[in-house]
Amino acid sequence: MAADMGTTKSFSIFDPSIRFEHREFYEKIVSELNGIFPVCNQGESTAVEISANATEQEQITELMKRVENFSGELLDVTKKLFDQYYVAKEELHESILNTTAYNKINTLDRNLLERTCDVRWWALETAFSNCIQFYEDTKDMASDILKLLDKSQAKDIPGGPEEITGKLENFSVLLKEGMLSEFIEDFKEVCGQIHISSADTKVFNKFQERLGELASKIEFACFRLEDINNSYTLYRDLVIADSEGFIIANSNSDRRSAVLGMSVKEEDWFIKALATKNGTEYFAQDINNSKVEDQLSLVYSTAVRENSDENGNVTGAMGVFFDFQGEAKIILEEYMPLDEDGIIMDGCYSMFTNSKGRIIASTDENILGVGENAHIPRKNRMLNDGERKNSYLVFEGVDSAVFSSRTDGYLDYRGLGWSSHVIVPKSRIFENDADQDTYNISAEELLNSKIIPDINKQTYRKVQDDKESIQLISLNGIVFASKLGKRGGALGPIFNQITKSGDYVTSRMEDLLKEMANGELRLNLKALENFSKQAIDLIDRNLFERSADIRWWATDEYFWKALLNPSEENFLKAGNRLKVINGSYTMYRNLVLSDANGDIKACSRTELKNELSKINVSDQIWFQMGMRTAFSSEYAVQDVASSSLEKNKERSLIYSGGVRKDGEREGDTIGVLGILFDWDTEAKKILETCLPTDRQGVIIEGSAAVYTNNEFEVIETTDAERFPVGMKLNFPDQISELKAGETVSGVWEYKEKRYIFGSSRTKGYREYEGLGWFAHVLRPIF
Amino acid sequence: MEYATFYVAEDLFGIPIYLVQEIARKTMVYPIPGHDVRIEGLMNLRGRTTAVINLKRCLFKADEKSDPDLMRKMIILETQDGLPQEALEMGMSAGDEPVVLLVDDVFKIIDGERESFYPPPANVNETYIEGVMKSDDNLISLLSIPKLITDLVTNMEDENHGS
Repeated sequence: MAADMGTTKSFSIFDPSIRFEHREFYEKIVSELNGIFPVCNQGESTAVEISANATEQEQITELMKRVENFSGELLDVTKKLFDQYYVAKEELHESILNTTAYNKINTLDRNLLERTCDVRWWALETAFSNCIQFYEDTKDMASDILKLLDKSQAKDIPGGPEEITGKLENFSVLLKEGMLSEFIEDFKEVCGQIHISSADTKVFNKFQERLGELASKIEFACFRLEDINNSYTLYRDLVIADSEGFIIANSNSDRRSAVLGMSVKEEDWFIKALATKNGTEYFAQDINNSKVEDQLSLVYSTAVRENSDENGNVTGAMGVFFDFQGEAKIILEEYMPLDEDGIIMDGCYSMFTNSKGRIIASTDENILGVGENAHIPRKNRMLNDGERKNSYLVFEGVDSAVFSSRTDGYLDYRGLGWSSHVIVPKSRIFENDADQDTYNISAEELLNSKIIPDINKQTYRKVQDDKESIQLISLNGIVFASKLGKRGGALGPIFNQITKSGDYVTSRMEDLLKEMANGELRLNLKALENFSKQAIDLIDRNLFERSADIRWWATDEYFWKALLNPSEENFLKAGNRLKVINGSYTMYRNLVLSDANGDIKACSRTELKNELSKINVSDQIWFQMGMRTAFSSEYAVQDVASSSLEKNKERSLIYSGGVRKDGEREGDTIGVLGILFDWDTEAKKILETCLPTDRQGVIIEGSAAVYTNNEFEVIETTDAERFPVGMKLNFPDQISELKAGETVSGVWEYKEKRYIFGSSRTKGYREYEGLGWFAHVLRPIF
Repeated sequence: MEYATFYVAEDLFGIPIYLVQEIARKTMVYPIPGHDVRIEGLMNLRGRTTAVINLKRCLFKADEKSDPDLMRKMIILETQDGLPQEALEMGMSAGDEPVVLLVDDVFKIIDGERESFYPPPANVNETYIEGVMKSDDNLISLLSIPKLITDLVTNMEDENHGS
């Protein structure tokens, strides 16, 4: 229990986390107060000395008793104050680090949710089902060819035939890179040497032709996988396997020679993919070894179905190999304290563990090795879904605290039972806070503000009250002494001592309270900074997905075919295709296809087709930028603005990509695909999760979170009354001076209300560079 | 001689320490009907009903300064019986009944031997001020308790006669 931070506890002054100067300070207070007791005894004996009057003696003794009792009380308050000081620090750190641990696993889950959409959608690409179908049919033909070869006694021909028959029997070996084209040459040669009927010759020629076609189908499948991977750069490899588990195509050309033709029939992701019931199902294989890669893999998989129909028969499987290590590194390194050289500080670690408590990624693999058990307290390892725990432990010889959070999934994604852990040295939690004079807010103001928890405010008032009591006791003592005339002179030094000690103790306690208030302010500012960073990171990640979507969709054959042969029927098909896409990707309000002149030719919201077909978008930025893209790996985005495509919406956020002839990767554009992101809904959802809460988890009244563009105009808000969309905010210079990826916090006055704020500027994510936006999280001081 | 000094509004005032019986936090005061706003009301002082005088209303005309929350301390004045020999020798006198002064806050006890005194400035028309004492950077107006009490009592009697 000693290690539990959650229960009410008190800090012994000998607790190693108590700072040296505080222990010294505490000891001074105690000795100062202890000094009063002999003074009181002295007062009592002085009473007998200076007065023979029993009443007077009694009065003096009474006075001294009061001083003595009061000193004892003051000693208690001092202890309590120290307790509160350290508990307050602990609690705030706890809430910040808890949130950090949670944010890490949540960010990862949000990412993984997108991945589950990806694989299901991609597996229905016709290039893949076609390729598998064609391969299977060719394989069937191969056995017929074998029989014919047998009949023709081809085995008498010197050189080759065994090779050829062997490969025909064992057709999948031809999937190895380069084998098929080699085989076609060998086969041609053999055909030239054997004597067969003309009917059989036809069959042989046809097979030969078919082999060539198969080669180009495979090449095209690889090409499409590459297209996907060029758009969605979070994957290391994407593979297509036939129903027997032989890999037909992959996206990573560096690994192609090793991967093609390989059998994965014993791998879980493949077996489970074949077992999916329809196109809505997928399988996620937890971090494991796979032959496909030479490092640990996180694989998402689903079946490839006949004719790419989501209810069709299973003909193969698609597996996508997520760049888990790269992604985990990005997420784990976020929010970690850095030294001057930008390296994570010693004693601070962060890691992910799987449901078995094994480390799957960490910030320091020498200490927290991947695959090993995490040496952290049992309760931090044995969490239930959504649970958070903190403990103290000695880690690598350092008194540390570990904050753990297990996934609760995200939306319909249940997660794989992973947890995230953040370890920091205990001394970091109780370290000294720098002076907060920079923040233009006095300690007294702070101590009366909403930022300081009630319990600390009560202590502040109690100290103020005690200070007054000491003053009154010594004042009345002096008043009393004056009544004794010259005899009272002996009491003077005693009261002076009491006044002096009392003043010393209370003023030091006030100092400590102010230090505590400053500490609270600093941690609150830090919490707001973290919230703003989380807000901008989440939107950056979300917008990265949008930039991936547009790049991939713009290569879809329905669109370039319709633009090349602009018939009504073709545009109808393109519109239906857009509708299908939009049905799976509900974060878009509309998807539109425009020709090179800027006329809208198809859209996913088919009910708007007539209205939109009258609109010409050639003067709109997204269209112009989309037309100017030179490669399919490029995209364009128009910053949040009003658009004629959405008359009923104040603001639209439109991504665009150029459509090219034959889905080529570079060259002139023949039209533009524009996708209208449901910006308001998605952005607001994120902002609402980034509002500060109190220790009970209730959102703090009057707090707000907003996104602003690089002109400081509000583009989304949680408080439409005080910070409406379109309002230009006059933030302090420290915000406008922020560079990409930086955060800042401080005090700001707006509309006669004082706020503390945390602000972050976008640093983008992977290929998404960001538009220079900011996220701000504000909390009122009073 | 020592002086007990205190704040009323933002100004410092002082009275001889001999005239003080005790300094206390403000306690419950029961308002009494009457026209004299300078009397805050009555309080129970160790079983005796005692009048509480609102010094702010005695010394300042503007009512805006009399925020009752700011008045946090009481000075219980000594009675004639409680005056020490030294005070009597100096010709001081006090009432037979205790009286309580309501002030904003107490400041400290100042030893008058070490400070300089000045007559009240001519431009200040304060009936109850006997002089000004300068201590460190503070100017402390010395309050004449007898004048204050006499004035209040006269006024009360006037009112009683009038009714």
